[in-house]
Amino acid sequence: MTTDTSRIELADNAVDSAFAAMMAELIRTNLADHPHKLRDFVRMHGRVALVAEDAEQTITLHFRGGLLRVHDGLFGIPDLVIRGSSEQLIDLSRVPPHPRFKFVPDFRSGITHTLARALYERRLRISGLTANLGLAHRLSNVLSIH
Amino acid sequence: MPLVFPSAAWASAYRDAINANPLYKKSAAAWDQGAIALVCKADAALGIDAPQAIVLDLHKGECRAVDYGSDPASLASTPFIIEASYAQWKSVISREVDPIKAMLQGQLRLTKGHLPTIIRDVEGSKQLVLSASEIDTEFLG
Repeated sequence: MTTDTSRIELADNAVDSAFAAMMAELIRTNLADHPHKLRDFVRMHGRVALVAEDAEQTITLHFRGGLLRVHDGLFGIPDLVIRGSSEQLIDLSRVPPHPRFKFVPDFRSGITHTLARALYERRLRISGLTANLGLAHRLSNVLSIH
Repeated sequence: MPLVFPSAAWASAYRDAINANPLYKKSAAAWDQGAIALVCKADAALGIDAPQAIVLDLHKGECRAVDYGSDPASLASTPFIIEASYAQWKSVISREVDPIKAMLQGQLRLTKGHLPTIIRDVEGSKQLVLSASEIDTEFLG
């Protein structure tokens, strides 16, 4: 399995988007630092919109089985839409995995508690989750810095 | 007496403000990744002819030293560089804009350094920036 990170690129309309560049760089670096995440990355198909409501920034991550193109704004009809504050979207990448069961978050973590509360209070909202659990799980893995 | 941003006196006060911030001490207690430079871009209209860098020697919740200057060579060995225009630094220091939001909007840019490391320590980075707001600052323009 290759670790060729040139498979992650910015769409033409995203070259000036700091949010797009940041998320592309985050996933590129995560895959380089943790090559086992490539297993999930190559299985990802679909579009994920990330909406940073306070920053008024939206990007779409378009995964195509080992390819990722990051678009500024909405691109097509997203399978998953994650809406929240800039801080919450960044915190999604900080959720530590459970020490024994790597496929679930560590519920003892303060970050997990904070995000769970934000979801409960609907300050953080995820649309399309039930129909795209696999995509959501893999997204959390490739976004995670852990 | 207000201190002009950026200046050597302001940088020195910034070190003191960081070390007086208990939230920074707590949130950055594990930081051992080296210095972070905050770079203010040149702005001829404000009399800033070259980029000005404040290089913070950070280690485990403490700012051990600060260096202020415009010599690009001083940044060569600095592992992390965060850059912004004068107006954007003014907004962040004045707490008009949240530093994380400013990064997503491209107002603050990590121009050098390992992004996941900064994200892992994002609370420390945030407190670092917020420490600056404790300084009685005089802005140019």
